[in-house]
Amino acid sequence: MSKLFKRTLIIMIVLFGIIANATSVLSGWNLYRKLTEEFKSKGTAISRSIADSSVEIILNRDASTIQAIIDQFIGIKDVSYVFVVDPQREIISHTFVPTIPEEILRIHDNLPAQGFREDTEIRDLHIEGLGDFIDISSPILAGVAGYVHVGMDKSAIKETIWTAVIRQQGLILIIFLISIILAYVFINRISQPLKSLTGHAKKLASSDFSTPESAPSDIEPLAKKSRDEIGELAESFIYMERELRKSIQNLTETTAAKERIESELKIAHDIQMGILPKIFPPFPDRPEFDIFAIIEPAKEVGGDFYDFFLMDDDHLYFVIGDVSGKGVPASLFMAVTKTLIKAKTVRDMPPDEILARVNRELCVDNDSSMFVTIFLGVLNTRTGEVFYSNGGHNLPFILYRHGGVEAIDNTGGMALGIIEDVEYQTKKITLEKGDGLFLYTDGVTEAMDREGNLFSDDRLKEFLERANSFTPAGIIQGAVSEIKNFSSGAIQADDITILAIKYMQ
Amino acid sequence: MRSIHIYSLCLFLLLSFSSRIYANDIVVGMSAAFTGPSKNLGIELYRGAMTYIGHINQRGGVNGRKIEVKTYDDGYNPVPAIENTIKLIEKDKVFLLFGYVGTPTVTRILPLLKINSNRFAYLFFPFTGAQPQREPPYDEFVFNLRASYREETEGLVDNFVRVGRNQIAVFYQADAYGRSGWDGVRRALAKYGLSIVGEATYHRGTDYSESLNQQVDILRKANPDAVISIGAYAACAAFIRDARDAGWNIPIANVSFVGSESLLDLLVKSGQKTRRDYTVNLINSQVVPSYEDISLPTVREYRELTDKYNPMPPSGFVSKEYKPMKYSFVGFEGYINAKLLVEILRRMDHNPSRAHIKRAVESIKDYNIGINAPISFGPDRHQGLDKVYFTTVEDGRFIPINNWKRWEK
Repeated sequence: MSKLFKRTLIIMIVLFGIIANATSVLSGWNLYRKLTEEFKSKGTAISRSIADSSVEIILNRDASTIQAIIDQFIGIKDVSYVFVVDPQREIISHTFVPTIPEEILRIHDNLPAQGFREDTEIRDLHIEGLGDFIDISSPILAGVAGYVHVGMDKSAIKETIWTAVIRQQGLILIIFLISIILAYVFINRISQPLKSLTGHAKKLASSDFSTPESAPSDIEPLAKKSRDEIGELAESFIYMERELRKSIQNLTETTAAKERIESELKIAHDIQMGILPKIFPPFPDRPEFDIFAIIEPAKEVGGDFYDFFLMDDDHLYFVIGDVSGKGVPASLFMAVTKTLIKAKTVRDMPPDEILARVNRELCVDNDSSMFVTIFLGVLNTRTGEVFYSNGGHNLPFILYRHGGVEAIDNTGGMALGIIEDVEYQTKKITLEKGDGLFLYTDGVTEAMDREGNLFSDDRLKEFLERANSFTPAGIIQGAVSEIKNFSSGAIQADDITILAIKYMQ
Repeated sequence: MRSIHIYSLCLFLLLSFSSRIYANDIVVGMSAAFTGPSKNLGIELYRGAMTYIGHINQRGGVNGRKIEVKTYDDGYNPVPAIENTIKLIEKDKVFLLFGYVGTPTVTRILPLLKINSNRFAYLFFPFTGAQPQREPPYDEFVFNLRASYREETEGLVDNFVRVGRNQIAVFYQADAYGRSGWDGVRRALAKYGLSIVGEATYHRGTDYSESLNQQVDILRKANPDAVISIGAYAACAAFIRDARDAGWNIPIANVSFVGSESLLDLLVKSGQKTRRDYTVNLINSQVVPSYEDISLPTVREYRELTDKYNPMPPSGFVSKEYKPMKYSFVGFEGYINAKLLVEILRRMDHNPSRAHIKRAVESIKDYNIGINAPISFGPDRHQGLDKVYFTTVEDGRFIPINNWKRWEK
């Protein structure tokens, strides 16, 4: 039994109960009134007719004639007794068996003293053991010759009312049963689809949307058959399911594509990292200098790079660069740039010349309008002389062996890949034993904490002043942890690349 | 011889027209209780009448005419009695009505007699002592033979009062018959400035098997010295049985209509079962002398003819189980009724006409019918006998009461 039907059943029972009771009370009351009226008029007619016809008989004749007359009326339906009293108030004929009830004997005791009476009197009378009656008394010759009493049995009224009420209740019961059946059928017609919709919805939760629809939905006929709200609901269900299936399939595909891209990016990252020198110390047999570098891309691949290589026995080329933009395009541009730098470097060529050459190459067909900042230097490992040229990059710091930190003099060149014929300058510093250089990209100074504060040149310089007695690796690791502390979990926005050299000769 | 031939021819012709009723016959119509709880009355009354009528017919009839009794059953109910009477008057065109049984029945057919007064429809000797047919406006259409209930009840009351039993209660049938007796008792008591101390009723048709304890209780509460019963044998016997079973042994008197032998029969049978004597203190008033009093010539004749003919109950109504009584007060009353009817018919000429019935009846003066009570009719007297006989039961038989002292209080 559906819950909906249960609820309807309760409502129907209550409603029909109210209807049955209300109509029973009303029709019972109506019947009672009408029947009582009818009984009164019937009784009145009988008592008057006896009274009018028996004047002479009562005056002249014996009681048996009166008895014969009243006996004729006792056969009439609902007349339960008739009796005649003479002027002395003695009952001279009656129809009571086995005897005259006390209540009847008392009727006349309560009457006022003898007097003329023309009216028929009607009263209700309860007789112990016999029931309730309507007693109708008519005077014979205005009471001078006595009275005729006719008793109408009220139980007949009750019986009639009961019969009518029971019939009516029976009819209501039949209507009720028919209504129940109709309601059952009707509600089933509503609740069955609802049930299958609910069941369908429950199944949806566990159904596999990643596969394409195999068979038409089991609620499809519902949507087609029902033209009502149920049908609409079923239709929306099917629509929703279809959309859900579509979007989940889309999502699956997208996820797969993304995973592919991610794995490709991972490979790209590995490749990119692979083109950077990463074995430290790189020249274990050369004690005259110590070099260390690190790159921490913000994404899988980035635009930062560093490189170093020995052109001959005593010339160490080192470079740091930052391609504008991020991601794959930047990484490709970085790879090109790094490769170009190494390819264009010829022995004894000054750094400004290398940058100019690389710039020219980068500007050719640079449709993507990307550019790169580069700082390039050459250390003479015998003398400590460093020739360098800057293409728009952050100025490295010189770390003095006796403490003190100082940004290197700028050579004034612009970033590479923008304008083809740009001149670069080369400048020279000489490192003493224990002096060092600290090269970095703007990912270091522009690292942000949660509040958006930058790590800044000052903070970097202050750190380097504390740390310049350390080895390059120690300095770089210290810097990285300092930056991480500063940013304290904020997302890394830009690649962080650092390269540090110490001259040990 | 020639006249015999013509007579025979006429007879033959008449026979061919009517199988049963000869044109010459005097047909009298009888509607009575041949079924129901009072059937004994109708049957025995009929049998008593037929004993004498059969005897007369055997001897050639009255003035050469045989008497035929056309019977209908009314079961002691008014409506069938009315229907039967209409049939008898209009269809059967009977010469007169004879031997009706019961007050409620007779009381209701009286207007029919008045309506048919132009046809001179007379009712002869109904088996009831009620007043209506003894008083205007109906007394002129009815000839009664028996004493009235008023006379019976008056006799009972007089005797009870004489022995100091002043507190009289009435047990009666709830209809015109019972009321008639009740009224008689009331009037008789009024002579002494007394009134009925208690009354109980029963429905006409009550069977002997039914309980009347309720009525016994009601009357017993009134603490009467005697009870006068106005009823039929079945109910009256049941009342006596229940009263005696309740240990109430006061005198209970019944009137003639009760059917004394039927009453006695029921009580004796019950007494044999319960080993109790239900017939103690039982008084029955009768309107004919005892059929045991063989000092009366008509009693001897009744017994002799009954032994000789022993007529059957009327055919068609009575079940085979019915066992006719040998002699009975009711049967004897029927016998006397028939005997007087024959005498009246005899007094009419050879071609009797209804118009002359009244004159013939009223010519009866001090007629000795052989029961030691002269019968007289006249224009103001339509009741032949006034005598009431009182009987009680001894050794299972009704005997005359010679002395009421035994019930003295």
